[in-house]
Amino acid sequence: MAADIKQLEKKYVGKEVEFRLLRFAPDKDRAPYFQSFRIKLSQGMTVLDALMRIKETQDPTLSYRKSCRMGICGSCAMQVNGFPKLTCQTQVTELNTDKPIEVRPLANFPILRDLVPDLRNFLKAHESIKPYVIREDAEELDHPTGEFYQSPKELEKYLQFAYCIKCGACLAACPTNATDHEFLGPQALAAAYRYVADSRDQGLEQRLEAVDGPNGIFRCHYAGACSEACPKGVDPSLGIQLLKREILKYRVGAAHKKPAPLAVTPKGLKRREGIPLPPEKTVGQ
Amino acid sequence: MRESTLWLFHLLAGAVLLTVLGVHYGVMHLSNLFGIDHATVLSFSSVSGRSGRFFYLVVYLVLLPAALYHGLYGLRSLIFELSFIGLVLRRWISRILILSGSGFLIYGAYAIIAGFLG
Amino acid sequence: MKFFQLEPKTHANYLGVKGWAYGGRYGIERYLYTLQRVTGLGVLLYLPMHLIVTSQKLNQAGWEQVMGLVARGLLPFGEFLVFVGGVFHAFNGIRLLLTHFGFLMAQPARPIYPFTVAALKQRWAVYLVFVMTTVVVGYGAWEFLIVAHH
Repeated sequence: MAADIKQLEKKYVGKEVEFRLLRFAPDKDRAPYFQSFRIKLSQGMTVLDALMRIKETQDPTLSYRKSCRMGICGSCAMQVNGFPKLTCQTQVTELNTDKPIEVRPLANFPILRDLVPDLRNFLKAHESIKPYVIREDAEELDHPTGEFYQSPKELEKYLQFAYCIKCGACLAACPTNATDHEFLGPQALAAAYRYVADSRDQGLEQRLEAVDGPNGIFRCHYAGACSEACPKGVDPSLGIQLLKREILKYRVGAAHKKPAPLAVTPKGLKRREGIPLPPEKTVGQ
Repeated sequence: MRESTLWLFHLLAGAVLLTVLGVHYGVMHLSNLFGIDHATVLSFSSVSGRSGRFFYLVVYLVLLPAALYHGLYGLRSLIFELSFIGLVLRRWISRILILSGSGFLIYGAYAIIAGFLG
Repeated sequence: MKFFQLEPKTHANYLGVKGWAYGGRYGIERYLYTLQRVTGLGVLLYLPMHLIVTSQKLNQAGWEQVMGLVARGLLPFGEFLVFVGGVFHAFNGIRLLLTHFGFLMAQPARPIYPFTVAALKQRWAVYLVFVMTTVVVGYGAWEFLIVAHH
């Protein structure tokens, strides 16, 4: 693989590459159109670097979203040559093409301007599935006195789905989102599973209001494209299928779940010599 | 009704179809495999002979509602996933699908039972 | 207190029904989603016609007349296509049914690069769907298109 990258760099670095960017200014354009820019590739240049170079040197009106530049914030997902990708994690050379590189805003989202998608519905969907731990002992959540028990095995049940950075790439890939604008989408549903599978949570019933609705989880017919597009390995389609199973279990009355209990601080033990005291408690005093 | 209930019935109907439609396909289209002569499988005497048997009465009385429900729920999913269908229209589409499904169910059940009674 | 909220003008960018047919360089599973719909719709459209035709079995004259009618032109081939669609829909349906209940799927794991996709790990099931469909349809074709006309 490393050799491949070296070969690709030899082939492309220093060459001029054409970028076809989708442009749309809501105040003057009736429809989006493509505009071409040519820039010289430097070593390790990502698609996002290229966009920044174009903005700095050729057209300061170009709009796109970005923040961290290292695959953490999830702002810069765009369609690069027809596939949703985090542009900050996609090097131009790895695209390995002599044709112009086409960058469009994420599919299945309205365009706000140029390469900026409108994420409002997406975030509303995420909010609707109540993305936080819900427990019957609300008092403990509001005024915690300690931690809840959770084994590494229990953690692994949901950890993968907690890696979501809400970039929206999965919705751009989803064939149901292509037509159903109200569909909750793979992101929100996988997030719902993240909390349902959490051993500390008791919120399945509350989440069903959104998840089990006419635009909810059963509009997923398992195309798997969301998982292919996910840049963080979250695998939303896996989470969604597992959530379907949880819902069915709940509906047939087989989902008896005791939430993780509060961890008990061991008492009466003697501290070994030379071990420093823990920092002062920040909660539960 | 909750979507999960409707969807569960859809899956159950699908599982039932796998069996009864398997029998139907097997008898009608893969009949040579089961030692039935294909040339006669569609003749009137053969068809009415089968209609009079209790086994086929049960198979077709199970097949008909399962096929109608599975198919029409699938169609409803497909229609609902087109965003230009608003909430009021959705309700009407559901009603139309239920009505047409019931119509075909009564019509088909009549043919099956009348065929059995001869 | 209600704040004045600026409603931005946006441009719709949904792939639409075209997105069912083509969405990008995804695995075959995304296109099986569409194929499952198309075959399901085909079999569903056939069902009412089939009901009307087969209910003629109540009298011999009507049955023989309607059987003569459906044997005309390309109609037997159309019926064969419905058979093919039905067989594919059934085998792919088994795959989906098992997947919806969480069988056939890998278990969640820590996302360590290069990431694995549970949906792609069951590609063997997709191949099995095609093999089973081909076997059944192959035999059906012989009986449908060859035996039936001799």
